[in-house]
Amino acid sequence: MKAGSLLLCCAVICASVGANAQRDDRPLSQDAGGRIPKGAKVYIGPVEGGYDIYLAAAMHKKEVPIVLVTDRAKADFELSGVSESEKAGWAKIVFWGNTSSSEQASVKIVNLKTDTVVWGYNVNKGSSARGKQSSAEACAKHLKEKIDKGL
Amino acid sequence: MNQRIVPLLLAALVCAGPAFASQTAPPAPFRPGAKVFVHPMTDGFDSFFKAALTKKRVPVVLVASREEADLEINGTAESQKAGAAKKIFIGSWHSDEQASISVTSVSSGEVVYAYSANKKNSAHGKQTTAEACAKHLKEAIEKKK
Repeated sequence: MKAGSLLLCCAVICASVGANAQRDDRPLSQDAGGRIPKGAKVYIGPVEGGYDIYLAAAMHKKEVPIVLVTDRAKADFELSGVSESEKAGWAKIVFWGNTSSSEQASVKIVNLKTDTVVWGYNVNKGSSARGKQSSAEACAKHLKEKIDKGL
Repeated sequence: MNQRIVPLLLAALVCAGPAFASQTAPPAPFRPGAKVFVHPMTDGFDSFFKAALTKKRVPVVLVASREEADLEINGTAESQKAGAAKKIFIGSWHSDEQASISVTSVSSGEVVYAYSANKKNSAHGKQTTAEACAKHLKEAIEKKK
């Protein structure tokens, strides 16, 4: 009898795990609101200067818990943005001995089901150690924080 | 007793099936021997990158058309040549290089790997960033073995 109850418990636990696994595969519902759930499918729109590829690399490096897709139709969210780089001028090099560029970027994420902006972030680096990579990684880091906090 | 246990065991296996399947499903095409198509990139970086894939012996097969490929690679690269101020005051003739690549599964459209490289005073220009990308791609593929 004890073995029977144990198996019944196992069956109930497995059923709930199975149901959760299936729930994760379902498309996002409209009530997702301002949240970006873990495992959400995100499409990164083209950004001038190939910044979208830096963003993809940054998401991968920072292990942001999303799935990047290249087909907008398959995505739950769309990330779009702008970026700007300013190379070090002669005065910065001569007087500051600094050859690093200045970088600024701004990104936003739109829920494609509800057409609402669920997240936005601006980054400005006066002396970017690694150019566009630095600003892209700042965006990815803050996006990861938002997703992990479930805000 | 046994008559009760057997259906319960079956129910448990049926319910657990999807959960285990979703956890163990491998990212199919990102493996050694995958067929890779490299898209044209800015400033001909694709040529440097293809050469780097060969030099670093990345275990992939380069194909000429997207239709034959399991994976496609997109990328962008930027070079900044040393200006007069850098040459005179810093004493460096080398360029600054940055590049970024993303590897996408052709069948699912998911980005399976991406990497950025930034080299100040790059010893060999674009070749250096291309080889950095290739080296890290090789590491990632070999980890998936």
